[in-house]
Amino acid sequence: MISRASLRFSLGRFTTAEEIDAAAAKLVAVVTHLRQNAPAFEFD
Amino acid sequence: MAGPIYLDYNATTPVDPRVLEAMLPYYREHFGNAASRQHAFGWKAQEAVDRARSQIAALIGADSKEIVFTSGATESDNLAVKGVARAMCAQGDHIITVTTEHKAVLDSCRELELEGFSVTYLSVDGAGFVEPEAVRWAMTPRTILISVMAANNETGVLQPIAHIGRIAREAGVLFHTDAVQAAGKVPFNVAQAQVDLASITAHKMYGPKGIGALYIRRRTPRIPLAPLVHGGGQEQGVRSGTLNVPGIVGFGRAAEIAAAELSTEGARLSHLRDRLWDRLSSTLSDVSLNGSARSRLPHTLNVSFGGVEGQALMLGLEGLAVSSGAACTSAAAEPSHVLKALGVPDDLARVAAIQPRSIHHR
Repeated sequence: MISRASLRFSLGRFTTAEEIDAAAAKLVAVVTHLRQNAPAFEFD
Repeated sequence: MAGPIYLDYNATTPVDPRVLEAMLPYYREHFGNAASRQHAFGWKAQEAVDRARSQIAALIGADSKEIVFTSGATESDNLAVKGVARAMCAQGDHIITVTTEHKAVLDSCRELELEGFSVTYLSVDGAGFVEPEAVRWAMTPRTILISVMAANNETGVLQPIAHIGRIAREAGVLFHTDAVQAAGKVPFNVAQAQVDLASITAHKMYGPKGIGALYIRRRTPRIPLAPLVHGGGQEQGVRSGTLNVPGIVGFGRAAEIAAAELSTEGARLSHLRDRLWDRLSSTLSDVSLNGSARSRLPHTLNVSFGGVEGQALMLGLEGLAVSSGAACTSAAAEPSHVLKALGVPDDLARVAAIQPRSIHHR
């Protein structure tokens, strides 16, 4: 069983382009890091 | 970037400074009870309530006499669903709703089942839509109410409520919609959607928490509604209790601003939302969009990431305030019932939420 995670992003009146770019960069970094460091049993 | 990034506006929104400014005098000098008919303090409060009622009615294309104030959308949903069912128990005992509704509707229906009502929970397709014709097929001569939300809080999917409204009206069955996430975000008009009842709330549109409304269509005969709260007979006897005047004033101003800025803000946010999705889907493998990409709220994005565990992801995302389900469901730490209904496997629908330590707003 490969684990998966779901996230809801909901933007609003005070959301800026800079925040979206920072959020995207953070997500890409964290997801990449977790996939590289995931225990082998998660991928059987 | 200073401080956490708040991307959880479907859970709640900050109060807009313009809204707060409008509210403050009604805590201080204009603190009167709107039901005090004998003096100027009461008149001043009543004037403010009347103005706010018109602003809120205008946002959804209603008449101000059709707006009843409540403590929020959960109460509005409870009042609509339980109120109609209990008032109409002589005419019928069947209710139709959808599995992806908010818990305020689903739990109200469960409560009614304990009271002897029968409820049909329609399923949705993989994109999150309910089939309007399925509503027609589910109707029986005993059906008294249909409740289908306008926009889903988790996926942002917009249900075909105008189509369902037409079917309901043709059949002479009352139609309620939870319009909490749609009102003020996308065009929502009670006449176009042919709804009889609609739940809305202030804190999803930059107003304060603790104030909501139920739209109740005026017609002859009146829509039967058994009150949940009894007392002073305020709000046409439908919802007793001293009116939350500052909250109502804030709700009115929030509705006015939302109506004025709806189209420009919707365009701005859908652009930012798509930019986020483009970054994620072009950089990462094994990411998928949950719910329809075609018909959804402009500011909502629900994504599944393969090969990562939910809890670890949320821990890694410190500084990013996001949710994977309804905030009230997150507290229960259960998989999202909405994603499950879309056919997203359990593991994908695992709920987790990060709470930021502090939020900075510009």
